[in-house]
Amino acid sequence: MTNSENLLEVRNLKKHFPIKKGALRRVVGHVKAVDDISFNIRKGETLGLVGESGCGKTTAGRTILKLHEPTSGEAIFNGENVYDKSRSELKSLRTKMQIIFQDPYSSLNPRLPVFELVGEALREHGFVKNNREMQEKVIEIIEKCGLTREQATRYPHQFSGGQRQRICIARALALNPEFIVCDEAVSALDVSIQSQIINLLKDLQDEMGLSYLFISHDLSVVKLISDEVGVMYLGRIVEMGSKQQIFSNPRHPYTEVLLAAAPLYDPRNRARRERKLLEGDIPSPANPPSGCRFHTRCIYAQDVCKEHAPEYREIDTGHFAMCHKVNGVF
Amino acid sequence: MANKLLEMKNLKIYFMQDGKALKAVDDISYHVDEGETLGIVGESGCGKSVSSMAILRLLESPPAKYAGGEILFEGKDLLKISNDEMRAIRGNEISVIFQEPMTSLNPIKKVGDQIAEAMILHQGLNKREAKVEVIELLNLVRIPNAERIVDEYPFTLSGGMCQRCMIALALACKPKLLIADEPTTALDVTIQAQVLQLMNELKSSLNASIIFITHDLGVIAEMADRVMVMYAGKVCEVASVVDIFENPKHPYTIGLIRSKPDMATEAERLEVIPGNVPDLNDKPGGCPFHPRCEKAGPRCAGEFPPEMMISEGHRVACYLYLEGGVGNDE
Repeated sequence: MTNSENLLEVRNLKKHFPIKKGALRRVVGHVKAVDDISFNIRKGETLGLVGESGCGKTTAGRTILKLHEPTSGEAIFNGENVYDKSRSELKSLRTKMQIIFQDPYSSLNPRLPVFELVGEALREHGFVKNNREMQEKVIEIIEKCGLTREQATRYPHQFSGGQRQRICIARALALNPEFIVCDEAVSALDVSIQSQIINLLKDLQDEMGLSYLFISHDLSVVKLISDEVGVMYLGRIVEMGSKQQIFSNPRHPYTEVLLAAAPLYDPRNRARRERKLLEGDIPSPANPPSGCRFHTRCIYAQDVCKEHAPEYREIDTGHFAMCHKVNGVF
Repeated sequence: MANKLLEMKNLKIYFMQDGKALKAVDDISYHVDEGETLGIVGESGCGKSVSSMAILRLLESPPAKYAGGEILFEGKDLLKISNDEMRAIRGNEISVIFQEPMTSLNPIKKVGDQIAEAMILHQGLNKREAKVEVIELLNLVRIPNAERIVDEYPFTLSGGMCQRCMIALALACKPKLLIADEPTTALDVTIQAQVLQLMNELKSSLNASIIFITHDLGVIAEMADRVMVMYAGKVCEVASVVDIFENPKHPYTIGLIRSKPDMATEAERLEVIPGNVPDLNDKPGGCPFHPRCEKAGPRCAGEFPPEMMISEGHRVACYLYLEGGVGNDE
C-alpha cells in the first residue's frame, strides 16, 4: 500500500490510556481511545475525521504528532516513522507538522503579542537571523491570514474569536509546514466567521500545497473541506472513503444515522425527521461492547455482531467499512 | 389570531462598565403567541440570551441595568412585579433550559430531588407525591430506568441524559412558556436529534410556547414556527421560518443563510460576510451591521432604520426597503 504520493501513512495506530485506582495507583484497565486505525493522507489533500465526543478523533490527531506517546503502530510522514525519531530529529520534523486547536481563547498565551506568538517558533527553529527579519516574516504570514500589519503588536485579548483563530493559523503556518492537524478548528466560531476561516484554510491549501487532517463533529463542514472522510466510533474507523462515497453512498449503519441526524436547512420538510434516530448514548471507551462496538445501538444488529468483531474490508475501490451486514455475513 | 402570551416592548438592557453603558439589548420588541415556538438566532454578543434571561429577571444587577421597556406576560409587566411574585412565576409558569446541562444541575443533589423541588415549592406536593410525579416526568422525557435515575447524582449521567433531566425539571410545573437557551449546542449530533424530537413532541402535548435561542440555523429549521434574527442588540428581521429560509430580506439574514455549510449542496466554497462580529464596546452607530453590509449607503450610518412590514408577520429593519433607500444618489 506504500504510495509515494502519500504524505502521511498511519498504520495500526493504538493509544490506550491506563485507568489507575487505589492508593498504589495500580492499573485496573485501559481506555482504548484509539484502537487500531490505519489511513493515508495524500499530498495536498484533506482527510476529514468525524465522530461523536469520546470516539477518539482528537486523540488520533495528537498521537500522530506524538503529542501523546503511541501504544503501538506507526505514523510514516514523508517516508519516515515519526515514532522512531530522537528528540532533536522530532523537533525538526515538527516544523513540517503543525496543529490548530479548537479554542482560540485558551491556545494563545495572553501575555504575548501576535508578533511573538507567531515569531517565537521562527526564532526557536532558526528560520530567521534577527528581529528585523522575523518582523518581516511575521507580517508576511499574518497578512496572508487576513490580519493587518498594525495588529502585530496587539495582544490576544484585543482580538475577536475569529481573528484569534487567524493568529493560530498564522502560527501554524510560520514554519512553512506540509501537514496541519485541524482539531475542531472552526467549531467554536460564529457562523459568519466560520465560513471565512474555512475559505481561508482552503485558499492556503491551494496556495501552499498543504495537507490537512480535519477533525470535526460537524458533518457539513467536513463535507465542504475534505477529499476523503473517515468515520470513527469508539476508537475505530468504521467507514472510510472519498467524500462522494461517504456522503452519497454511506454503507455503515453508524454513518447512515450520523448523516440522518444532521439538521437540514429545510423547514418545509420536517416530516422527514420521522426517521431512524439513534437510541441511547455512546458507550464508555473504557469498557466497549463486545464484537462490533456499534451493535448496542445498531438497528440491524444480529447475534453475530455481539460475538465477533467485523473485519475492516474494502467494499469498493477506496471505500472501506467494518460491518458484518456490509460484508455479507447476514 | 392567536393570543400573545408574552410581549416585549422597547426593552433596553445596558451593562455598566467603567461608567459607560454597553447596550447589550438596544430597544427591541417582540411577542410570543400561545403554543408557538419563536426561534431567536444571532451570533455571540447579539443579545439573544440577555434579552431572554431578562424575562425571568435572571440578570445580575448591577452590572446589568434595565434601562427601559416592558415585558408583558399575560398582561403583567414582569419588570414591575415584586420579587415574591416573580418567584411564583419563575420555574412555574416560565421555566428555562440552559446550554450546559452538566453545570446547570446541582452536582451534590440527587437528580430526582432537584426536579421535585419545584413541584414541592409551587404545587404544594409532599415529598412522596412529588417523587411519583418525577418518575412519570422522567419517563416522559424517555430516561430509561427512571426509578433508579431519580436517586442518581448528575455526574453519573451522560450529557444527553443530563439535558433530559433539565428538560424534565423545566417541565415539572407545566410551564406556559419555556425558554430554551442553546439547549443542544453542547450535545453530539445524534443526541441533539433525539432531544429536538423530544422537545417537539412535548410541545405539542403540553401546548406550551417556546423561545428557542440558538446560533445554529439547522436547529432553527427543525424547531421554530417564527424566527427573529438579532445582530448587536438589535432585531434585524422577524418572519415565519419558511420566509426566513426562502425569502430573507435583511442583508445580514441573507448573508447568514448563504454562509452556512449545507450538506445538501456540492459547493466547494462558502460565501462569506466580511469583517467581524462587533464588540459591544465599540458598536457601530446607525444600523450596527452597516460596516459589513455590501448594500450599505450613507443613510445606514446615521439612525437605526425603523421596522418595515414586508408582508403579514414579516418585518425587517433595513433602509433598502424604505422610501429613499440607503441614501445613495437617487
